[in-house]
Amino acid sequence: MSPNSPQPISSNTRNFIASLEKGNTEEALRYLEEIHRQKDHTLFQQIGKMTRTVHDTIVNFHIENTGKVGANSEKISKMVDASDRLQFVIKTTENAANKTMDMIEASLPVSESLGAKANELQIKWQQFMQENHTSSPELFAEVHQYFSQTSQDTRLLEQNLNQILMAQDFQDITGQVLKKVIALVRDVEENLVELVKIAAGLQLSENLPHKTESVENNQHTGLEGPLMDKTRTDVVTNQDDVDDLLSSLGF
Amino acid sequence: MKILIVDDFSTMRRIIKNLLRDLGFTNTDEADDGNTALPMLQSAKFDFLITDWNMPGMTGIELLKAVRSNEKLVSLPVLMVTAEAKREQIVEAAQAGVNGYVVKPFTAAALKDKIDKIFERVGS
Repeated sequence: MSPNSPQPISSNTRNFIASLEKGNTEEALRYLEEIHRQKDHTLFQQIGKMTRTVHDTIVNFHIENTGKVGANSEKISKMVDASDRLQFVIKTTENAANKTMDMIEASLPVSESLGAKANELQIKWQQFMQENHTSSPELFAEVHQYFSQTSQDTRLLEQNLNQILMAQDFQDITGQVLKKVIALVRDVEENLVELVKIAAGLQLSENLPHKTESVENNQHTGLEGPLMDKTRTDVVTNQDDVDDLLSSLGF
Repeated sequence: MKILIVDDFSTMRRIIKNLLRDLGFTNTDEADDGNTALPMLQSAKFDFLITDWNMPGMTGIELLKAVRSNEKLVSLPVLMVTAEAKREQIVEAAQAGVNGYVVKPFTAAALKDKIDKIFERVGS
């Protein structure tokens, strides 16, 4: 509060109405301006309080960070903590995807060699059946059928394994989104620190620069990664759109 | 046929490598961004380049431009496989001389189709 603290909004409002009733428009306008000024003043006070909280959190974090981080993990700045957690998600999904792909890469050759061997035996068995057609035709047919089925089933197995492999692309897609969020959190923290510095220097003068402008301007430029907003018109939504666009360019 | 796969996510490199293997291309090598890929392309003979766009260090579009401005690599077929889906980016890649563009997430069939088309065109 400044030393020549202004009248509260309620009394200015009463004076404003009274002036209006008296028909003194000039005086009424002066009260209206005063109300407006007070509203700004309250807003800056709020920003000041928030800035102080953020500042304290960051300062405390730096103090704790130089001390014992691991033992005191709950007191770590929530923003840094959020980035770490997202990084943890990237790492965990990457490990899971890699483990899945290890297993697929180990299983595919097994299926392929099973299928190849079944094929080979089926041909030999066919020959053997023709040469020995008098004895036990049911058994001959059954074994023949088994070789044929095995060869088909292993191909299906390989297709399924390849589908599982393709599904691991979730790690790349979600990882890109998480990296963007981590960068955003860092940006916000840096901007807040900047705000704290400015606020400390200017004592919340009315000339606070709009630091967030550059962030807003960057929103739809540069590399964006996987698309989240399906309503955008400046992006393609599927491979067919890409192909259409490229054909229109003579590709 | 030797193919270089460039992507900063090892998961995606493995997926592409396995898909290529299923399509019969077993001779592949990997790089995690343009800065690693370019010297590999210059020192060994590659017949095909598959690259992501958004990578730290040198991006895929920068790699594509570097390839097109290199006398030895100028006609190397390049397929871009990326999550970048803005029309202006696809146009930029086309103007920089990309041979094909696949948006993530993609299917095995889409990848095969683009590779086949590129070789058809390059061969004719």
